[in-house]
Amino acid sequence: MDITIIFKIAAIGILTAVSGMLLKKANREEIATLVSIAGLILALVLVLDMIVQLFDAVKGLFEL
Amino acid sequence: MDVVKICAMALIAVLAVVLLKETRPELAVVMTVCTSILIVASAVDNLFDVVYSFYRLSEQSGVDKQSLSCVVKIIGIGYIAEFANNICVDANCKSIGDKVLFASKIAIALTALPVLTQLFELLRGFLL
Repeated sequence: MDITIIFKIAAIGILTAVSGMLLKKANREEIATLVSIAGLILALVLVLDMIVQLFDAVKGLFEL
Repeated sequence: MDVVKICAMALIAVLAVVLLKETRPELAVVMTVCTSILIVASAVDNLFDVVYSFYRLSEQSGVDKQSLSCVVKIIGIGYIAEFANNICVDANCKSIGDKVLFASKIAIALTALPVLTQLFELLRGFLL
């Protein structure tokens, strides 16, 4: 729950973008799309447990 | 977490979102979701004592617990719906955001129902 997760997601984005371009240059189109999908899934997994944590706190707070 | 840290985090996150927007638009949305969660999570911690002091004050003033918990629940529903709506509008899916708001209005009306019936009983007692 701190700022490092922002840098992690930014790093994922940059890495997938660069590797996608490299793979496109080496005409491996399909692997490039797979890399971008993998990056997206990784970022979603990172964000998912934060969402659950926040919503539990808010639920406990407002007795929803 | 004081306000200065939150502002710095928001600025850094905006830079990251702008960077990600043209290469990886879907990650930009994930980044906005993650930043808003971070800022809200750091703000929610000191919201706890606000709500608990709200309860303590209301106990002294004799407001019954049931209508007060309705008020707090409605605040929570409104807040979460606003949170989801802003993220949907950011990812320029305005229609989904409006549906979320519509559903939250219905939920708010539902939680406000017992207080309303209580009010009408009270009024009927006075008038009739």
